[in-house]
Amino acid sequence: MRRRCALVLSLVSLLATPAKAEEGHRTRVQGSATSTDSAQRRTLDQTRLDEAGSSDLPALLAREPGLYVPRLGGLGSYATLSIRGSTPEQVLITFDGIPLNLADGSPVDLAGLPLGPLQRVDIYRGRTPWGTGQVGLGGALALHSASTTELSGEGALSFGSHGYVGLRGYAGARPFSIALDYLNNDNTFSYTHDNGTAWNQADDFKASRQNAHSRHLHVLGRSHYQSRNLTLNAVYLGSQSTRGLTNLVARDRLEAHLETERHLAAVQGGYRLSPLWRLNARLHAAWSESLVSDPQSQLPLPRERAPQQSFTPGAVLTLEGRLFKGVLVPVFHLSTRYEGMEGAVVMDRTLSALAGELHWRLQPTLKLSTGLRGELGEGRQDLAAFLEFRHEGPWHQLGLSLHQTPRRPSLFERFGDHGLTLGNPDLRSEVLSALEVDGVVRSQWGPLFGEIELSLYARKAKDLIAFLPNAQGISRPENLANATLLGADLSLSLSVEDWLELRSTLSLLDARDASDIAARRGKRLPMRPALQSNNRLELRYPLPELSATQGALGLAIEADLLSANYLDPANLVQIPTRTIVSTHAFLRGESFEVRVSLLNVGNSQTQDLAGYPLPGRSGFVLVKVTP
Amino acid sequence: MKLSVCGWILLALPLGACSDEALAPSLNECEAHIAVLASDYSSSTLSTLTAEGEVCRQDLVHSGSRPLGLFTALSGDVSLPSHAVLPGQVALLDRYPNGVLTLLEASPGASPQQLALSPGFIGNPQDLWAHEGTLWISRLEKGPDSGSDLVPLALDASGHYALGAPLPLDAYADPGFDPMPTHLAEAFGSLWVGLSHISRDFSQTGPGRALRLSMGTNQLQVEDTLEVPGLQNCNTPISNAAKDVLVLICQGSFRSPRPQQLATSGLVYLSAPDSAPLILSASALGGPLGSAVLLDRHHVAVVVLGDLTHESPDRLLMIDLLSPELSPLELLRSQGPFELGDVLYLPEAKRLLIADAQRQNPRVRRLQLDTLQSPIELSPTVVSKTGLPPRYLSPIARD
Repeated sequence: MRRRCALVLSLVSLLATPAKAEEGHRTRVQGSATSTDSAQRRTLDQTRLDEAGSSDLPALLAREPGLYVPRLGGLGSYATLSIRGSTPEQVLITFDGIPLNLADGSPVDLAGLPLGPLQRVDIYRGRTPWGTGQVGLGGALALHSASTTELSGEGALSFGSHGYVGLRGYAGARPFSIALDYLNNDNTFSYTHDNGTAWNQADDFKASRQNAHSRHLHVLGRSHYQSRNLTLNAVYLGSQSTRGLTNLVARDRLEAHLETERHLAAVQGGYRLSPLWRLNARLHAAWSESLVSDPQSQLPLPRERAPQQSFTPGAVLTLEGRLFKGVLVPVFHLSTRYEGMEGAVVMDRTLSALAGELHWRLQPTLKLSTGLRGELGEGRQDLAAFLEFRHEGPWHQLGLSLHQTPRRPSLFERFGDHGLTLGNPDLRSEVLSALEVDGVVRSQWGPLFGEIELSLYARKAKDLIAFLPNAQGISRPENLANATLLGADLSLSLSVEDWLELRSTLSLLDARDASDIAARRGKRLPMRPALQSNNRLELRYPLPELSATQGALGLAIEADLLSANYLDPANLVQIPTRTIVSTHAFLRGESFEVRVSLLNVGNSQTQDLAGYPLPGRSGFVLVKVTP
Repeated sequence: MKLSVCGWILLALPLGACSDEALAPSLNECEAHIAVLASDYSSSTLSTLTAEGEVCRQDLVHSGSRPLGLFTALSGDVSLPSHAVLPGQVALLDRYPNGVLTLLEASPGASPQQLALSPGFIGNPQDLWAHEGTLWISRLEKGPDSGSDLVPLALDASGHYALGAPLPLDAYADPGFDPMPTHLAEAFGSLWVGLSHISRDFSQTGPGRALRLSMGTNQLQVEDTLEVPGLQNCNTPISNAAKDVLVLICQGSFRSPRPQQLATSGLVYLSAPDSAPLILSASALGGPLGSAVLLDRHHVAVVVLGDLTHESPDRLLMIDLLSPELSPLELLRSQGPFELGDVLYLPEAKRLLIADAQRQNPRVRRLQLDTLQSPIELSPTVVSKTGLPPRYLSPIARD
């Protein structure tokens, strides 16, 4: 089974990059030893992460099929993730197996996560694996950091438009490694301000974005130990972020800002009990504190707010067997976690889950997997289940998945009496039922290698929770809506040895509100574009005089298409279709790399949300040195 | 996928096509007497009704009537003035965040006029009152240099409205609070301004207070304050057609626990400018007060708000303020809490209209009040094709 997973991983990696590109990079071992799982995933490997250059994690993920990443500004600005029409709250995000979702259930800010220390990103667009002790109704993003097996180091400096500066550093000597990631972006780009008067162009004016700065500092430390029967990993990530809170109306002398501090730690061990059974255990904890400061009360925020703290420790025990020479693989997960919030309101709860999976290789190329998971706590239970078939041949791969996944109402949704919000203790869990089919076909004709990956899905979401405001601006969550989501994700890759690579993705989504609310019935769910496409053509000219394996000069052009997208449930307000073209160039040698990017070449004035302009034409330079 | 090929082609087209031209009226087939604003607080739409409360024009303008710029054409937080403003015109107060006044003809043809009411800060305009060619706007929130005041708009040489020097009201707020003027009403020959009187971060509510202003040409002057001991958030003064009585609605603090809100909500009745105010506590009515309208000198129809926590409905009650015994008559009730919006009385037709934002079946409900004690509910009016629920009603002045 491990071999099978490795095969899937390597095939998907192949989709992203030619094999030789991996060579010569520093040696890194995988961040966390995940248990067996059959959930279909798409992996961004080191080469794809390096391709991001000066960019950040949200920009990288926005290119992937099935993912929609709206953001409030340029690099470093608040960004959330929607997978196949999910809400951001429904997406589980983990760092080395540590869930990052806060105790209050709010979405994870993707821009507040470091890109530099990452070795691999796994994207689960369908069912999410159960090994982290939590499930994501809408999908999951698993970030894996790198460690080292030898003395190594790396440093990178990047700078660019609108006050952008980035620093990344990495140093490792077995068994320890440390990484540093710093990003500052003043986001002082200009935009056209319409003064809120859509019918009156006479009062429009050019403005510069104010108080939109983002600063993120991350420090990662990790250690790894391995003997014949025992594997141990320890990881710590500390992060500090400062972010200006923007408001286009209150733009004069705006001072409001948000400060966030976060600490993650985990210890994970694996022990081979016998030739047939292996036990994995992980203890993890995440603590974060955020403080909003608005000294002039320029935004509708309390002037003096208590810091909001979230504490989410947890433990996961996984027992995995390999019976009948690996034909039958039973896996059991026992997990517990505590969720605590302190601030204006104090809330906490403890949840425990027991899950069992069975992976049965029916034939050498055909596998059946099934599982059942129950989560207990707060006097209620939630059940998740799946049934999956996977057929893998040398040049193709087919999968069928049926699953049901719940999302328990968050602490904030149930008990968040906060003046502006009222919790609803009677909320039911959201439940997603899904049918997903995926397939990969690859072929090689001499120097030409091609691969097509297609996924089709039908999802039905029941009892979706939404906050409904009243005339006084007070919101209360309700199990408001049902929704049906039909979609397809297509990914195409074509390469000619190391000379040329063409990658193209296409995501189609028809997400409809199936609730009985007159203004929503049958309408498209807002913030779910019907069509997304990313297309990238990269040309490389090998320069063996710089490095026999890596030396190259490369040029790339990238076009991102996003179809029109409604912003409101009544489908009155649309963000128009947009196409953003960007170009990149790089020069790579044995121990250095220089990347230059020109983003939004056409200087399109766009936005993902009304009132939050995105930057126009921007340039960035990255210089990386690997001693 | 459900989308047809045509559907995808349409999606690929520039989607600015959803403009006001698409909603351009074909015929001026009816006379608009009432403006109705429907909103789910994400987007808004404006419709008009006839003098009988029947549909005149649906969705005259809405949040998507113009291609999206930095802001939407109308935000999700739009209200209508308490009073008719300019003959044949509808005024829209786009409160937060846009802070914009939109004036448009209720009949077809003209393009809306728009003016930013608080450039550079969140003014959060609440109400509009016209006097001798000047439009006075109450701005709830305060900016670095102005705000929480009354600001005049006067026509400039080019025939467009322009902001004048505001009338600051800071002197009428207690320390730690902003005055937060909200609704305006004319009674006893004066302009009355209800103050929300809340701290700038909205966490605390000060004592109930309203201001009485003298009305001069292009200027207002505060004459007196009306203190309402025990009540808070006295933000809505209303008067009758003859403008010879005044009722002040105090809503209490919506951020307080309900019992506390209930204890500080109520109405104040002034039958003469110098008469002792009659105070009726909301506790006696079972819920904090919402919209209200005077049916004559002493009968008021008032919305008593339901409870979100217990999901109890709103009720529209009629109260005789001169009756020695409090015996309100329930005129109607909503399905859930916070669904009943503005109330509007049409004295000539003896008809009472109320916006009912029931999610599944939003409509304007109509009551015939030939005799006050025997209301008859008429068929309701569906005001928008969008399904957005009606919230605000405002009369349209006729020539």
